[in-house]
Amino acid sequence: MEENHNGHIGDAELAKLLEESRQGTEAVLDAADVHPHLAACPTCREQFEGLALLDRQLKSLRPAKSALRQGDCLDPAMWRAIAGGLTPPDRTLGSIEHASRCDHCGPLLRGAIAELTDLNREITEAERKQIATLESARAEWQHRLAQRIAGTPHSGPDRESTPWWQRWLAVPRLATAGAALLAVVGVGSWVVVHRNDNRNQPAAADRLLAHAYTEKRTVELRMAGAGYAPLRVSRGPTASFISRPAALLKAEALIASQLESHPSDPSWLQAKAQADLLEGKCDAAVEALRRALELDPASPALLTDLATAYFQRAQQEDRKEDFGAAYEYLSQALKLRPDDPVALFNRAIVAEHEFLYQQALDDWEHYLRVDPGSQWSEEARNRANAVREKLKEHGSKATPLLSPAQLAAMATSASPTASLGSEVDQRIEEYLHEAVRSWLPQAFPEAEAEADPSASQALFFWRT
Amino acid sequence: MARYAKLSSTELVRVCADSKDERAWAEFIRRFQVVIAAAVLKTARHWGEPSRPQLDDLIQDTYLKLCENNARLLRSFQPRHEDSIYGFLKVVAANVVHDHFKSALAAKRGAGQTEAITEPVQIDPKMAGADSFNAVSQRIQLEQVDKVLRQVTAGKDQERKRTIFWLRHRQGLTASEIAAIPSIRLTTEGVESVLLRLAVMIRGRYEFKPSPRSEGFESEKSF
Repeated sequence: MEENHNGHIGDAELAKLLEESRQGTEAVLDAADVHPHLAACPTCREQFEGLALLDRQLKSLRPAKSALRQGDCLDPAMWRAIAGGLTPPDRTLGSIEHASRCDHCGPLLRGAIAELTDLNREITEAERKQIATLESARAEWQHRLAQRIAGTPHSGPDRESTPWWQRWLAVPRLATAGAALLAVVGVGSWVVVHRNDNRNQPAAADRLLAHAYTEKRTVELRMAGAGYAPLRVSRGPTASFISRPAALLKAEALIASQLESHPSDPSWLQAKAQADLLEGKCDAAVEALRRALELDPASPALLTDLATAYFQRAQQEDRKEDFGAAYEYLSQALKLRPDDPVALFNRAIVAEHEFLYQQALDDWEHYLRVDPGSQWSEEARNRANAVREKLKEHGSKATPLLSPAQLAAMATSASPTASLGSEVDQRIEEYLHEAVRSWLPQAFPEAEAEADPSASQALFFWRT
Repeated sequence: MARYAKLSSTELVRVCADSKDERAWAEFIRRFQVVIAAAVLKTARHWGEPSRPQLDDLIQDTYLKLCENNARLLRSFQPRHEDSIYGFLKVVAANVVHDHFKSALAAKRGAGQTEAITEPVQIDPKMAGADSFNAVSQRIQLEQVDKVLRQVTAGKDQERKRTIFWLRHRQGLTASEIAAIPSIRLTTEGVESVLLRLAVMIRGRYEFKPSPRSEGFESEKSF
């Protein structure tokens, strides 16, 4: 038995015993039957029994049935994606929080987890045999489907089974001549590229950083010059050395060597800050960019990157005020360059995090006018749609609910308006929530003298 | 096809998402056949014992789903680790199978009933509105427990702890089911430990009132 230093049952074991008792039969178990130590130790037994009782009391509060779907409930199929870990963790947690308290989504999440658990279990021998007998297990079936997907109904023999270079090398004279030509071209290209890199090394670092960003995008905001990539989970500064893109390592080596001789060059400071951002070192990035901005205060690119550094720090260290700083620096960048797509894209995201949905939507719409067709615009379009949904939802809730007094007065008037019923019906869950949260305690307070008669009347209307 | 066989699963998915290269797709189908077929088989069994042609059709539908709309689904896939493609394909296959059987059932019952089939048993809105005193009392107690829960979890990770607590005590998930949710990022033991600590703190600060039903409150105070 795991014991703590006082000889009592340890927390981990107590937690496990409680969990086992939760999953056990409906009948109340005798603590002494659960574990021998509980039979011998009254202190531990009392604690276990108290916690088991709390469990049963909480269980009695569970709703017997699933509830109605609400406006903020997810599509049922989404719960499978969430249970399968296919959604971005930072956004998923909010959905799970919702499910934990929503009697419509909670059962769906539970069902999805059970389904995924079944899907993840190893297939049985019988299932394996059944799959092997299917038509789809045959190579011809698979070949036909591949043709259908590719839109190539007929194909010749599998020439690709021998790599092209092996087939080509099978002709020795051609291969020798080709190799010589390739060597000349290769050396020539290297010289040209290398000379070009040496002439404009900040640009070379920028290219490497942009490549690193696209290869493994761990930052939600955009980096100028980088191609599109879907966002991946960031593990912050603790990410392992080998998981870093090679381009980032090369860029860091180049930046370090150049900063020694150009310590006050804003371009190199910016490059360093971008590398720091990709490494998750937000404080270092903020510091480098602030220094760069002192040297070049009217640079939209520096302002945009500084905003990114603050945004990352806000997320990494839960410093809400840094979101505000990010928004401010992006606004300054957009004053200088109003149609800058990167600053617009980034400010829209920062605005979402600040719950400034209307501002976010304005920026997304502006962005899509500036960049309607790139891969980034697809992400922008999706985000804009999500923001529209949020605004729509918020708009529907903007009108305040009727107060108990208003409701009671309208319900008891000689000619109750026809719209009263529909007003309540349309927002029945909101009224139910309000009734439970406010009206009921007002109608039945601890001290009867403080009872609110209009709350009682409103509840009566509710009942009827 | 040999060069595609050398690609990692993530690389192969990326190639297929960006092209309709027959050989890449042939490798994709060959490599993921068992995963998709197993997911289709297991999911279809929830709806009855499927026939072999039915399984073949659903497997094919899964591949076609992956490449429809210019491989939108595949392009949306974001690998979080090398094996995450397997989870992704299982989820896509399960969705295809459920959609198929729901549509088939709706067609049998008549058009326009798909939504009713997708949803679990629902409470009549009027019944929800006219909830019994017992149910309302339960909701009040839930609110009160939640208030205490907020107090005892104030600070870092409050929402995560609160979520774990209600997943357990309101939705009835076991500790291992909660730990199975990837974004919770805790082991089963970790979840058990959080639940124990929260239960101890709540027990010290909140006293349950007896059930109104058992005390006969319902007849005394109805409204």
